[in-house]
Amino acid sequence: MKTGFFLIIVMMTFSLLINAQNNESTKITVTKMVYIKGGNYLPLFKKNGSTEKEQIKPFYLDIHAVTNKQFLQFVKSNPEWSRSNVKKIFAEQSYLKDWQSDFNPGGKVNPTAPVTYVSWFAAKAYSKWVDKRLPTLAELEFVAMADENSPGPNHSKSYNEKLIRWYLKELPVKLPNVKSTYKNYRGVYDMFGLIREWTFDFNTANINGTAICGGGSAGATDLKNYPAFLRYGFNSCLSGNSALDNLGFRCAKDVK
Amino acid sequence: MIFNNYKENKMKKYFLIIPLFILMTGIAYIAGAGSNNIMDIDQSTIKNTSVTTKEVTKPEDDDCCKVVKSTSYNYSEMSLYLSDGKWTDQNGTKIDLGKFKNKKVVIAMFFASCMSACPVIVNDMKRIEAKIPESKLKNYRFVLVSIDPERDTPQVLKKYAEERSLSSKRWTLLTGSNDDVMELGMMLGFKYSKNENGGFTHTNLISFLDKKGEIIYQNDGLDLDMNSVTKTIASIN
Repeated sequence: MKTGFFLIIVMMTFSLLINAQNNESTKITVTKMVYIKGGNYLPLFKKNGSTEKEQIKPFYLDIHAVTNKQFLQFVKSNPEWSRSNVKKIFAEQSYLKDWQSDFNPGGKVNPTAPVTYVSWFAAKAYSKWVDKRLPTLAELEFVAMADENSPGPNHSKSYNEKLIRWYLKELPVKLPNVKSTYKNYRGVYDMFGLIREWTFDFNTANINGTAICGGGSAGATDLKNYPAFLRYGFNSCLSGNSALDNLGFRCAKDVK
Repeated sequence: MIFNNYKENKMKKYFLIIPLFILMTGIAYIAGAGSNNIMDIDQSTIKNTSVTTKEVTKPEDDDCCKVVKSTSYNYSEMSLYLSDGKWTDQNGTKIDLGKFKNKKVVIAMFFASCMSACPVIVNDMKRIEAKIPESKLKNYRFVLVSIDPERDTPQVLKKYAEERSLSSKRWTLLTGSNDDVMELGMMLGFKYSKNENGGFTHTNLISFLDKKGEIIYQNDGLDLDMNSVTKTIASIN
C-alpha cells in the first residue's frame, strides 16, 4: 500500500519536472528587480541653466540587463521582431547581427550575456511584453551614481578613473555574463563595465545641442564627471532604430 | 518474536524505497536544473527590497515562430503607420495613424499652451496649406500631435483648433499616451523634454508623409524653406 503511495509521488515529481522542461521555450524568464527608493539627482545638463535637483520617484529596476536567452524568448513569441521580419523603421540593418539566425543566437553568442544590437523600439517592445518599461535617463543616471559602497555621486578618484578606463576599452569579442562586473550600493549589477543601455528618453538629454556635439562643456553641472560626458555624447548620436554592438537594455517598473 | 519479524520486513521495504526515491528525485532535479532559467540570483542580497521573480507561461502556439502576425494592412518598411500607437482626435474619436494612408500628410508635434515656437509651427503649416492648389487640397491632411497628454485633452485641442480656424475637415489634432508620443517622436526624429516650468523644450519639425506614410521631406527649425516645400508639394505622390 505504502509502496504504491511512494511510487506515485516519485512519478508525479518526475512528470512535473519533465513538464517544466517542455514549457521552457514559451516561458518568460523575468529578471529580478530591486526597489530604488528614489531621491535627488542633479543632471549633468540642466535646461535654462538651473542648478535645481531633479526628484526621482521610487521605482523598480532590473538587477541586470536583458540576456540573449531572454530576448530569444521574446523573439520566438513575437516573430515580427525577428531579424528578417523586423521593419526598417524600427531597427537598422545591424539588428541582432551577431545572432546566427532568426531564432538561434548560435555559438558565437553567450546566451547569458546581455543582448546587444537591439534598437530602442525593440527594447521598448520587449519591456512591454514582460509588463515593464524602459527606465528614464534620469532614473538610470541616478542609479549609476552609486559605486560599490555609497549612493554617490562623490566618488573617489580611482573609481572615476576605473570608469573612464572601461569607456576607452575595446569591447570583448564575446560578451561575458550579466552580473559579471560589480554590484553597486543599490543592489544593481553592471552599471558600468559591461554594456551601454537604452533609456526611454535617451534623446532628450541635450535638445538644444549646444554642449555635446561640439565636444564642449557649456552648461555642465559637474565638469569632472567624464563618464557622464561620454554617456551623454553617445546618447546624442543615437536614433531609435540604431542597433550597436555595445548597446543593450534593462527594464524598470513603476511602484504601484 | 513474530511481531518483531513483521516489523523487520516492513523496515527492509522502506530501506529500498527511500534511497530509490532520493535517487530518482535527484536525477530529475539535475535534469531540470540544466535547462532551468538562467536567473540564478542570490536571494540574500536583495531579500527585503526585491520584487519576486515570476515565471509566466504563455499558451503554446504552434505557429509562433513561422508566421508573422498578420496586420490588417501591409505597410512599407519605413511607414510611420506601422506604429501601434492609439490616439484620440479633437472630437474625441479614437484613431490610429493608419487612418491617413493614401493621403498626403503634413505632420508636426506641439503642445497647446506653448507660447513661443509652436504658434510659429502651426502658422507655417497654414502657409503650406495655402500654397497647395485647391484641386489637390482634398488629398492632404494636416496633423498636430500633442506632446502634453496631461493638459491637452480633446476638448483643449478642439478649442485650440477653433481659435486658429483649423477646419476639422483637413486638420486633425491628436493626443495619446506618453509612451505613444515618445515613440512617434522617435520615428519622426522629434526631440522633446519637460522643463521645470511645466512646459517643454523641443525641436521644431514639420514632416511631409507620402501616401504610404513614409517621410519624404522635413523642415527642421523655425525658418520655413518655402522653396523646398513647394518642390515637395509638386513631387509628392
